[in-house]
Amino acid sequence: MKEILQSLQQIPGVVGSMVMTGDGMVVCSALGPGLESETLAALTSGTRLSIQKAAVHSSDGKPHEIVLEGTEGNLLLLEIGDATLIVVTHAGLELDSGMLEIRSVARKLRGILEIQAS
Amino acid sequence: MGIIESWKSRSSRNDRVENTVRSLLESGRQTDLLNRVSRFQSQNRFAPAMRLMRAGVIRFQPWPEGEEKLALLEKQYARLELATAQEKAESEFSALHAARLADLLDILGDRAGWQLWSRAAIEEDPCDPEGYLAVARSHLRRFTRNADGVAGLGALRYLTKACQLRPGHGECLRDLATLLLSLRAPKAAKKVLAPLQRAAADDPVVIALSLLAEELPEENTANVQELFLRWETGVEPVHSPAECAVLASPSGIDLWELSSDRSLVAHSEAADTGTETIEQYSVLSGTLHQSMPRMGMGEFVRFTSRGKGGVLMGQADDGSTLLGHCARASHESQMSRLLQQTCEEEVRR
Repeated sequence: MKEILQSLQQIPGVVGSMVMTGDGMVVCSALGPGLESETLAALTSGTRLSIQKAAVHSSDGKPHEIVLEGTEGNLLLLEIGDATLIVVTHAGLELDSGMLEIRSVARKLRGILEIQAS
Repeated sequence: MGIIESWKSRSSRNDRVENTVRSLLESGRQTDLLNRVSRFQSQNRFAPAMRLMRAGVIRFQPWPEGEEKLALLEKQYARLELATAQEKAESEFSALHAARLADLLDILGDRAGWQLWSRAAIEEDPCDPEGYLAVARSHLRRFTRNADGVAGLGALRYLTKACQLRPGHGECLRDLATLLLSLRAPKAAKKVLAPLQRAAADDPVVIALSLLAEELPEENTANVQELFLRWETGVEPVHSPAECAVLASPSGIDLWELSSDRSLVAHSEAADTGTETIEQYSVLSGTLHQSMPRMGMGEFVRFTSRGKGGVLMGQADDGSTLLGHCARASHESQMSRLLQQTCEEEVRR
């Protein structure tokens, strides 16, 4: 899993990534300098929870993809089974092209988690 | 002595202990409490000394002198226990022993050691709450001592996990009640305290938590994220949908605007303005503005949430937040443009 996360860093603009369980526990991380997995997990878990509650309440169901944009960076949250893949990117990254590759990695990770669960 | 006599004598002893502790936790009795703690300390009875001191710190908050004394006591205890804990963790390795050692190392300020052993405790048995509890306790210490909101969120996350793994775990419930009372949520804390009041009525910490829970005014929300936002910002949003401005939007797209204090100020005509919906959007808006800078992402600009049943989107607008929702994925780009356009109109106004 670590290798797959490290491969994400080959995508231009990607700073780091991690996998977190549904209850916010860090499973694996490959984060760049200045990013601390526990802090990121605590904050992302709270943010994801508030988006999820609002989305479920609006009858959207559990979101499969969340994009958070900030002035200094973006966070992409992709559901991979019972866990979430979090990808940190630079601000202004071309999200459309990068997202295709990130989604493909998310599918790989989902496959691994499904095998581990079975 | 028969079982009933033994139970009766134990019960009356417990009542005496409870009354003594209660009297020491009455307001203005800080000095008496400190004297009692010092007496325990001089007899090398660290466990009751720490329990009483913890109770005092909860009861008389803010009490810097008490907090300092508690920190000293904990350090003294940790130094005494460290060698035994280390030996146990190495010779009879278990999640419990690793978690105890992690806790002592955290008290002594060894963050690397704490991380190593708490992680080892979780890895040894991910279904044992002790490892999660060791992590939660460390976060809780930082939350209460340094008013560190991220540590508070961390404590909540790990305590919730530990409580799920073993509902009714005394230490988990005590720590969870402490966290809830720090967030000024006595109604939620009372629910957590109920089983403890039955099982450990004479525990000084339980008594202190119960007294504090009775004194604080009840919170008007059950949303723990809203409690964190109130604790961090000191602001409670006020929603009056009937007095809100109307936002223009095409059919199929709903809009809401929340001010910088997270109150609803405008919405489109068909938008849902039910209490639950507005509270959730208000929390969402506050969370985004608070979390993004702390994650190192700078100020919040926008978010998009894609689900099977629709798309939820939000955009920052000079401190306030504009939220949009559509049930059809094909409306996403139209909604994105609408949010952008509404924000620009707001700026022009």
